[in-house]
Amino acid sequence: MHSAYKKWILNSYDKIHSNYVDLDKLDQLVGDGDHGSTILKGMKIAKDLFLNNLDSPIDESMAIISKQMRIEMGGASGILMSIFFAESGKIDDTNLSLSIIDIFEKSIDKITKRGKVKAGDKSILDIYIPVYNFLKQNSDFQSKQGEINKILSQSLDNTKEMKAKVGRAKFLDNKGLGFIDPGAKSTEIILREYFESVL
Amino acid sequence: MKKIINNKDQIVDDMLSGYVKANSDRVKFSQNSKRIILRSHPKSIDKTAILIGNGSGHEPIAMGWVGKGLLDANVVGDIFAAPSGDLIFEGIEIFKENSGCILLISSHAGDVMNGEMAIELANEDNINADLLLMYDDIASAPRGNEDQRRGGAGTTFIYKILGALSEVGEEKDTLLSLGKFVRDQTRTLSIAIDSGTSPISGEKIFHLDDDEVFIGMGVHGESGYGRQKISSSKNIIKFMMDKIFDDFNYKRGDIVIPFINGSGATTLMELLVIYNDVEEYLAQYKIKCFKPLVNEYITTQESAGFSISLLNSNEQMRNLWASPSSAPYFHL
Repeated sequence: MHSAYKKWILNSYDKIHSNYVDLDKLDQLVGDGDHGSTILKGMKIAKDLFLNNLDSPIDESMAIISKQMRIEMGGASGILMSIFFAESGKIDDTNLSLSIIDIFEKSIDKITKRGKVKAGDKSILDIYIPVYNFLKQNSDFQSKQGEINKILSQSLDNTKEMKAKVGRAKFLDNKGLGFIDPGAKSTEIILREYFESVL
Repeated sequence: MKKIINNKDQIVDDMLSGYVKANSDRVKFSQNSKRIILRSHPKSIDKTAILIGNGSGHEPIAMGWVGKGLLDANVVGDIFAAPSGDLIFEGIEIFKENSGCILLISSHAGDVMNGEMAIELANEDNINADLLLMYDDIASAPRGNEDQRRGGAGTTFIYKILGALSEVGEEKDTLLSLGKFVRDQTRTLSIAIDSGTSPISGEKIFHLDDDEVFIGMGVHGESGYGRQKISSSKNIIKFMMDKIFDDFNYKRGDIVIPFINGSGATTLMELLVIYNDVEEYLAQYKIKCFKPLVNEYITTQESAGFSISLLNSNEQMRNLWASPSSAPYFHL
């Protein structure tokens, strides 16, 4: 699983690196304009720490990475986006499907509680939940990567029509309506790379 | 972007280093973190410590208010981003021997999440710490939904009054209930005139036309009552004060503490013109002002704009407000 996780983290870093300026611009419309820079900082830490801890068990590396992402990113995005990284350490190659479902279930539970957020509030949960539902309903999801990618794209697009009930966008006149959620966008990138690497 | 800095990623660290050097007689870094500002001479451990965690980019708040009679510590996040729960917890741990600890959090999503995490970690370690959530901005949620509001400049009343009362050794629970009472008696409304530049993106945080102002905008450009053509101070103050008076039942004979806060690029000349009009507005209802604070304290870079905060006060609040403080940037 080390090589799959290495691929996931390095590719996510690269993708975020090519998208962070656009993410900042998107965040200028609905937030304080720095989501891209913040998530890039988080992914850089993830990359550096993963490469420095290649010999550690996955759960230990991911726990270290998650904590350091939270500390260095700060804000709402640090505390919420680091959750999946910590949970992802519980991957089990002898029971891959069930462990991935469990990772999503625990991440959703923790994000819900910490962020006091629910489905449809225009947040990162609006990516996690549709993916989780698909995984639960398709025991053969390991061979359905194309469909997972479609769900990721569709879920991201759906955030455009949501009115923000959390974060800074909820205080905007338009509640962010018409724009995709920046956190949902970076989550979509990272999860797409996750399935590309792990399945 | 036209700002005198070195490396964009080092702004906060460079600033804090300069701050601690410039005020070394009163403040210092914690032993383990250069993101935690402490008093050089801590209060005794039989007293409750008062901390705040907040994002930077809003100076002099909150580092400037660490001092005797005010805050015991400031845990400093990156620009416009709350510090992590881990770091806030590290700040709380410094006071684990104190009789109590109150973490003040201005209500913004990231601040609340990280503050709550820090308190959970503290309570797991049996540290006697509580979170006091602060909110006052009437443009962010309607009357009746006060607990949904953002924290604005009026949170200052809580910092100062609890800081002063904790200094004389009052118990934590009494401090918390006074803090909530001060919060309930505070109203704030802000207005944006022009945007500052985010040091991270190098871009303006929001856009306003040359002849436009925005009433009720949050400290990061979040919206409120909407755009208007700019007009005289008297007109703008009447509009804003009418909104505040719709939100809170003031009565003849009340004594309020006014705080006119500039958001970074508003001249003292303007702030004093504004204060003059606020005082006149209050006088027509026979409401008196006590020791107002008029200056730039809670800023968003070089944003132009200001906020009006009013605390409807009682004698205890006024005494605590007026009591001395050694904080480098709090001057009544």
